[in-house]
Amino acid sequence: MWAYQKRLQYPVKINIKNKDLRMAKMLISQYGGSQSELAAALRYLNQRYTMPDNRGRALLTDIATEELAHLEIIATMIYQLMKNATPEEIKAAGLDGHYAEHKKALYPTDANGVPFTITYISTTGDYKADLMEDMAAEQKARAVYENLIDLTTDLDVLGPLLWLRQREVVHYNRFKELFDMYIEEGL
Amino acid sequence: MNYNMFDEIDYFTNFKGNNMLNINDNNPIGLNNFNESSSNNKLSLYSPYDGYTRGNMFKNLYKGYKNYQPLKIKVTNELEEALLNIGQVSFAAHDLRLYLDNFPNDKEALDMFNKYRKMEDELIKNYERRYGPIEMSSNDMTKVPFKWEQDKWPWEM
Repeated sequence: MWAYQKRLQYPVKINIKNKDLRMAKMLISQYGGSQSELAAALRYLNQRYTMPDNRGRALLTDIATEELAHLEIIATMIYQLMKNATPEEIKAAGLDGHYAEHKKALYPTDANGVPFTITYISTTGDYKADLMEDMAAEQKARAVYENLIDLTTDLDVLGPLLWLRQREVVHYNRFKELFDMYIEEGL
Repeated sequence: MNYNMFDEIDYFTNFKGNNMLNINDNNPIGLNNFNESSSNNKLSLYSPYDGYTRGNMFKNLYKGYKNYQPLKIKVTNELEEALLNIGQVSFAAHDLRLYLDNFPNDKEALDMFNKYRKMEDELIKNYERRYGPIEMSSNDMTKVPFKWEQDKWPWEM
């Protein structure tokens, strides 16, 4: 089971004065895109059952859980960016498509509005293949965070993005460590 | 805040006893910047604050992007400061936990994990007494209205 803590893993506070509203449209990528935190969480939560030992079961459970906390960080940034925006500002930021479909509600799509699909992830029952996918997924998520960082100068958005990017680096290294141990041990 | 120590007893004493928020230029973030030296550790960890701002406790795994530096986390009131103090020790425990998943026999890492986990528990209990529940297991929900739904939610902070 899971227990919710009523706090963010990393703080988000978007200052209304210098907010980069257009980034709300881009950040959705990590909410419901192919390399999103949602995809990551669901990927590991589905793969953990067929890991070969407790190291794998534990690592995939704990990283999946952290990805849910990251999903909340991304959602908070999007929510706070859009919160007080007028319809004119929404239009100017290119968010009118989102507004037409969802007003200011959260909805998992990629940056182009393509809805989330579970076909972004896979499970094979082969833990080497699955861990390879996990390593690739962390690298791709890191790349998307770098794309997002390139697109903004809003420090209130950059702080969490830099932090989340580094988490992808750490997760990649943990998956690789586990994968290498499995290979070395002939599992 | 003028305590820069990583001594748990001093730390908690100061936390409980200090009702003044003093944000100044020398310490613009007004936080506990734990300055624990980990030079003796084979693990080579950052301090909880430095690890938290970087998103990584393990020095060998930190890899920045371009010329970006980790951003200092600003706090503007006591509640945010309390959350940040929870955030950094909780993060330290969490990052050690991922390491321990892979290396369950590393006693040094396990001891560090337990140290930060206990600090997290203590800081959360202190926070809950003052500001309301973070966890459903909080003992501060005995009076109506139901405290769990009171106060701001994380995205409204």
